[in-house]
Amino acid sequence: MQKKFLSQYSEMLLRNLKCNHPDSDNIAAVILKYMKKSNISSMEGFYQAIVDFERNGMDTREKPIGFFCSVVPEEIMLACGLRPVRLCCEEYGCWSTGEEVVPGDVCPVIKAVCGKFYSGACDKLETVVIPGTCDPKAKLAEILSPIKQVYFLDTGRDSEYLNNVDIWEKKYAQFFQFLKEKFYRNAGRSQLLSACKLTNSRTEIFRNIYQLRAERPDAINVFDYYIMIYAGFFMDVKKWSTLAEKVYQQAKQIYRLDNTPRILLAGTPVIFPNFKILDVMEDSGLKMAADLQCTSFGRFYNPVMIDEETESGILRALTLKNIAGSMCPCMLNLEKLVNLMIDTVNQYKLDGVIYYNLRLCQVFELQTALIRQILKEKNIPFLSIKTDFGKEDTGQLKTRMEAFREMLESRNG
Amino acid sequence: MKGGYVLKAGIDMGSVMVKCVIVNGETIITKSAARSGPMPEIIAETVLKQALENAGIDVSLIERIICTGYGRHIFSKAHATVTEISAAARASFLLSGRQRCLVIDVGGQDTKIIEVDNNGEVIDFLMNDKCAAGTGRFLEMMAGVLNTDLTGLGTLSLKAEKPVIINATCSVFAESEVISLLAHNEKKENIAAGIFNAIAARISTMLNHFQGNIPVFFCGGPAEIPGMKMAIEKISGRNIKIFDNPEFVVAYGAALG
Repeated sequence: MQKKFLSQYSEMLLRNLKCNHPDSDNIAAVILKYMKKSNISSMEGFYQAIVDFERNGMDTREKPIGFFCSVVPEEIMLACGLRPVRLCCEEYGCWSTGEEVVPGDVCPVIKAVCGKFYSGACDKLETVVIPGTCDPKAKLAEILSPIKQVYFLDTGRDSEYLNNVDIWEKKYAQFFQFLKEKFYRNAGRSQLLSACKLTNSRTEIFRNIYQLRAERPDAINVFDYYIMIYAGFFMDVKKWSTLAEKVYQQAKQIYRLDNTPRILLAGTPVIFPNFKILDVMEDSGLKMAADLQCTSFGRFYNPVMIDEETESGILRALTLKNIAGSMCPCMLNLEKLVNLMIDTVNQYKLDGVIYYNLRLCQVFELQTALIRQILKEKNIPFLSIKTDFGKEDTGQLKTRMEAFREMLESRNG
Repeated sequence: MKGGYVLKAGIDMGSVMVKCVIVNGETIITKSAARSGPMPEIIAETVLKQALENAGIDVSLIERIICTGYGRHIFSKAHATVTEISAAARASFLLSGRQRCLVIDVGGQDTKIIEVDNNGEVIDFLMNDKCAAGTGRFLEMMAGVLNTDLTGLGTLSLKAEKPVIINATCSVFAESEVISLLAHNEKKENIAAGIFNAIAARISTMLNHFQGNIPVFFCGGPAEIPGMKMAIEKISGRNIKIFDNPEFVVAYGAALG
């Protein structure tokens, strides 16, 4: 009923959509730009995977299923023989197109996602899983419902495991059941176990890469790192892990002496092709050595730790990894986040923290002042920047970052 | 040069004004400024030439040219660049008598608060967002609507009986708000004071991120506008000192590098 009601009106909105914004990124040119900077030959596989994905879209034979946010358990989708495709989008062209459908002053990610969907980039997707992690996502579930089958996975916003594990397990079990019925799959404990093994082996490789970069960021340059992360949005997990292992083995051999300040980048995730922040950081002489973002650290760093190998035990382990371990500012409490920042800075002897606030995502911004105060107290240099996917503030961002670099250099003598 | 010092030029290529200061060691010998425009490199060249002429110095005597400000990477004759944040900090540390201090630097298109420690190093800074509200450009726009200049705006504000409250935080919306206030016959004086209060409130919010017991200094072109310092003092509750020739402080800091 609701779907029919919305469909009439969304058609009106879509009729006049221009779709291809004149300022859209030329993906091929962007890929080429960063590929040229790469010093690892096996990275080519990741770049090629993105080119193929952008050119051909999703392969329907792989049974793709769209999802947003790390609280949606990939393992359950994998257990059902599906290909999870993460749809979080920061593409400038999609963002501009989205503005034709949703108001200008809403969450830029939601705007970009709407642009992506309404311009046909997700036409091959039948089903999309949207969590209730934040208000805009909850509304997105409704906005997309006329054009897609939307599964709304609302796990609440309290990330305390012990308080919520029973509810979460039930939500995950319902989701599992939905997928099994929808795609006629006969999956259970053993399929879940295999899926967990698959993502755990990916975690193992990702951790190696993360630690290597934290100590020697030049071993894998920052663009290659985020290219790998983005390829992980849609690639087969096994293929991704094999390729990432090759990259790691090659990168291990690369040594370069460099005194460039090493930075922990926290806050909003960086998603290809919007590498504005990374470009400015590099141009300003700062090296992103580690991150605490939901798309990279948040998604790949923690393994699924199963105590009890029953279906229920596995689902509970999945909630621990995906919900209790979420890096989303709506979920993760400030104390845990700040402690994680301090531990990461101390463990890898990083020079400072840059906190990326996405304009109009209030949750990131609401905690910035407190983080600043706490880190200052701990004598950890901190810079917060606020921006969106537009390109007009590059000069101002550069001034901030260069000044931050000057500050770190004079501090380090 | 005398005492083994070398002559250095600092050029602050700001969004509204381009400023040049030539120093011998830590002493300012000469300075000059010109309005920014579409050909920033030529303007930089002009202000440098003007400063040299003022002091009767030949360009060959200048050992180093250091550029700062938004256009710092444009001037090809520069030997080095430094951000306006580090430049403001260096200068402020010297001008304040080498003490720990906070610096408010209101520029043409951004406002910064910089915390300088006992050694003259920047230990923290905050900058306003990418919009121009709370900056020199904002004040110029507002002065334009009231048909006056920056000094006129300041003078008007000092005569206010009942400052209006300007709600808009965006320059463009604030302009519409001011136009609408004028249409309702609101006194220019009250509007001018309202504008300064709006800016002062933004700056005070930024100041609140820093400890209250650190001496505060004020630089940047708008620091000279009558009423500006008073408005910030009133809202923030902190005593603020303005450096002499505040618009040249950043260029001076660059010249020290």
